[in-house]
This record gives sequence, structure tokens and C-alpha cells, in this order.
Amino acid sequence: MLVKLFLTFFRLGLLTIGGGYAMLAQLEQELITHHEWLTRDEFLEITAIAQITPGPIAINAATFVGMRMAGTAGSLVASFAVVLPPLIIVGFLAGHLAQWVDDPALHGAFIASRYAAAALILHASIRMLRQGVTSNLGRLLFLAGLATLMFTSLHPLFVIVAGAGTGLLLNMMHCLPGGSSRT
Amino acid sequence: MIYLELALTFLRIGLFSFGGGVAMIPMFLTEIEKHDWMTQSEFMNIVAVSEMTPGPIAINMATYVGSHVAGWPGAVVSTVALSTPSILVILALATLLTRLKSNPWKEAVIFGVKSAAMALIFYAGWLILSNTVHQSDSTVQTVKGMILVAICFLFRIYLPRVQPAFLIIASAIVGVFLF
Repeated sequence: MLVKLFLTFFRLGLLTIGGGYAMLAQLEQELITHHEWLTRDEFLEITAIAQITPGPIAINAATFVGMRMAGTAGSLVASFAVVLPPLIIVGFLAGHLAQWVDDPALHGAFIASRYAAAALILHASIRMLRQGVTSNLGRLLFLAGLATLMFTSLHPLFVIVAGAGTGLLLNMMHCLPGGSSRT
Repeated sequence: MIYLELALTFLRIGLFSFGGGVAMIPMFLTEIEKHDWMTQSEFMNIVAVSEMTPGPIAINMATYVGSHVAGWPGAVVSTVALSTPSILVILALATLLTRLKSNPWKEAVIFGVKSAAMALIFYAGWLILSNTVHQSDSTVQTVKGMILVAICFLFRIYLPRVQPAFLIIASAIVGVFLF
């Protein structure tokens, strides 16, 4: 299991472009569809936890998945594996990257990969929303959160905390649409 | 000692930043200016590159800054320091969450946080898209970009077996000729 964890997260670290959120899209495919290590609800829980805890989302997700699969050793192996490829690649490229960004021949490659990364993240979020948030109350919360992020300069952490607070408040008023499996 | 300084700085960023790599950028900037490690424009280049190179953005930024300040050992120290707080916090929290398995209050929090987290992910995609559009030189470029976005969407919907990473690499190759 430790070897499988290492290989999976090494590949994620190597092939993820666009940061932790983009990695979540690939993580979903690897862990739910490919390996069947997690259910969709567990994955969404990890997504939420990765964002309410400090630190890079990719590291949080790797630590959490590693922990679920193989305890503390698994969490250390997964985190180490996801960090290793960027550390090696960026470490080697550090001296050259700045000049490559300005290279007109490579400029298009950078732009295109960013469009692709944006498309993948948007697609993943829409699919997760359709599968993971099935109540109108949940959709309303999503829209409220999105509007807050787009039209105010509040810290993203605020949206997460407000979401948690709203959940607690709704529970107190007994108007939640069932457990987390029915959200 | 420079390694200790790097370690303490990145431990602090790792511990007090929420919302992932992109949310760390302002904190990185403050620390870098405080320590006089590089100029603001040098750091902005690093941010751009970190979004395009493989791996988590936060790790790329830490590796790059550490390498710039103190070579390979600096890169390793910075990356390890940035990752350590989140590993420890998650280890502590994972145990707690497993104990609270079916507590209605925990489920209520997850209900709220889940919807909020979806909004954050959607917003991250929107941010990357709008930043890239703002960087284009012309409307034609933007239209080409949108066509690329649509093609990636179609691939994800009708050919989900095609790996996301493959789509990004293929787009980069096409991009050399397209933009």
C-alpha cells in the first residue's frame, strides 16, 4: 500500500499543473474512479478539510488520504511523494524559468496550458457540484459563497468559516435536508 | 543563519495561511520584502511560473524562493518547512474527525463547508481563466483561448478516460503554434 501511495502521489505531483485545486480534479479521478480507495462523500470531506486547514491544499489532501489508507506512515509517504517532483523540477529550473517566461516561442505554451487548467478546474467543480450538492439549500449556499468571492475582497477563509457557521445554525433550527450523505 | 531564517519564515506561512497556494501569495510577498530576498517583480515572475510548472503552487513558490536565496539546500529547507505545519494539523484533525464519525453537528459543519468549498474551487477556475484573458493581447487570442476551453470541456464530458494532465500538455504544445 505504501508503494502504491508513493507512486500515485508522485504521479499527481509530477502531472498536476495549476496548483492544489487542479490536483483535486485529478485526485478525484485517481482515488474514486481508478483505485476506488474513497467514496465520493469521503472525497468531498477531504476537499473541505484540505481547505479549512492551513497549508497547501495538495499537501493537506495527500496527508489526509495517506492517513486514511495507511496511517501515519501513509500520510508521510503521500506528502513526501507529492512534494518530490516539483522540488526536483523547480529546483533544477530555478535559474532558467524567468527567461523562459519572456521567450515569445514559449509564451503560447504557457497561455494555452493556463486555459486548459482553468477549463479542467471549472469542469471538475461543476461535476462535483451536481453530484455532491443535491439540495436547493446547498446550491443556495454555493451561490452565496461564489458571490462573496467574486464581488467582495473578503478572505476565502471567511467563506469557509461562514459556510460552517451556516451549517451549524441550520442544524440548530432543524432545517437541514438530512445528513451529509443527502446534501 | 540563512537556513534557519528560511525555515522559520516558511513554517509561519505554512501555519497561518488558509485556502491553498494562491491564497498564500500576499503572505509570501510580505515576508520576501521584509527579508529583502528579491524584488516584487521577481516574485511575480515566480508566481506566474509556479502556476505553469507541475506540482502544488505553494510548493513551487517555496522551492523557487528557497533556491534563489540559498541554492539546493535552501530549496529543500523551504519546501519541508512549508509542508510541516499542514501535515501535523491534518494528522491531529484526521483522528478527531474519525472519532466524530456520525455526529449531527459535524455533519452540519460539513454540509456548510462543502457548499462553500465548491464555490472556492469554481472561483479558482474562474480566477485562472480571467487572469489569462487579461494577459491576452487581442480579442482573437481570447476567442482562441475560449475555443481551447470548450475543447477541453468536451473532452472531459465525452472522453473522460483522457487524463487531465494529457489535456494540459497537449494544450501547451498546441499553444506554441496557436498564440
